[in-house]
Amino acid sequence: MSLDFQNPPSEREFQQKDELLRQAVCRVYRAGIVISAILIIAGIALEWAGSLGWKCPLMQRKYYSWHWETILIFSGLLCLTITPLARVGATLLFSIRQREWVLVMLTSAVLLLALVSMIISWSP
Amino acid sequence: MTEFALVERSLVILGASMGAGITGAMFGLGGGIVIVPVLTLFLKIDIRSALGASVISVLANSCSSSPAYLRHGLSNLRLAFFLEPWNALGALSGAFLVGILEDRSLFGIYGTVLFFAMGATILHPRNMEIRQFYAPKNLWAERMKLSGSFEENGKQKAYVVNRLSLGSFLFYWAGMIGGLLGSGAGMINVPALHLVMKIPYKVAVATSTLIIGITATMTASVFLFRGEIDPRIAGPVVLGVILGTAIGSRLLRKLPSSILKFAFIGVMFWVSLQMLYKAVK
Repeated sequence: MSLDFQNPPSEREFQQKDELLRQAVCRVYRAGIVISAILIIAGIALEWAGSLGWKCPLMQRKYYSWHWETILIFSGLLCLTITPLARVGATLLFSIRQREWVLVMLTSAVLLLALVSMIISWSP
Repeated sequence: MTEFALVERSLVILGASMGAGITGAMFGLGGGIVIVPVLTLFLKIDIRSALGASVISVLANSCSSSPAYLRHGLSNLRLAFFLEPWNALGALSGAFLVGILEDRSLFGIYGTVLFFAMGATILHPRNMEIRQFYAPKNLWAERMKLSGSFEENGKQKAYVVNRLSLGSFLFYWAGMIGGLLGSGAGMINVPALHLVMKIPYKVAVATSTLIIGITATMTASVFLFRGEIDPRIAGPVVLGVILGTAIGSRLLRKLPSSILKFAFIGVMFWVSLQMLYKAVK
């Protein structure tokens, strides 16, 4: 067994945890971007097709005065908006599992402040 | 609007957003400085819709460039989590101050701060490694393991995080400006990380990109639920920014820090002049 004197076990363990966290955060970001890009592209494609004279049966229907292409783009934007919060949420879960209490404290503070800020801004 | 005008307009927005994506990924900014003038001056879109699209571009920029920076070890995730609460708290204070401060004074404050930040970036000594070596170690940064390392030219370079309390204060302030002006405040974040906290420029850009995502989420949600984001404008903006950041994040890794820094100074100069002009107009 070889010993790594430059990287003691605690340091190596920390680096492994850090790498796992990075990968988890990357996955959340990629999922958010892919889903929102698909929804937005579908919405824009429907909109362009409609403006160029193609009659899609889906476009004739409305949901509460909203056209389907608008609903698709709006859903994509909403998905994009919550992606950074999902990243914080994923880190919070990860840090609870790994018992990284400093990270738990920091991520909880970010989530709490973001939610409070949104509630205050939404209220009339 | 005629059938072809809609497609043409979407393509122009897509092109401008690509430019914004490249700028944002290279300098850790949202890209609103590119999108807002194009939408308002060239496409005659009203300022509210342009600001909504700008907020969305900040968000798209942060979400699409962060995975690449994280994968290459450029973003400091722990430091981002330490600074995000300060940024969010600042944005919250900014939301309260919106009704109190005048627009002109806001532009004046922002322009003046940018001007000083630009001056500090120009006068900052180049031998960052030497300053890093002699910098006193921050106890809190060590306890929370906020310092890190990154790869440049095939070599692993370590850095130490300094002046945590002053940096936190600046991030609070940046969040407040972001909340007041509806921007990501990357213009303040990057100099705060690089000049005050002594973090290498590339790491500062990547970490700032990660941090502005949270501030932009809060602002974008407000715009979205108030109905101030036009999906027909914001849709092409998101796609353009995603394409642009793919190019910009590659350029950030390949270009030397000195060139990036000079280009950033140029952008800062342009934005600070614009802000000061709006303040005195």
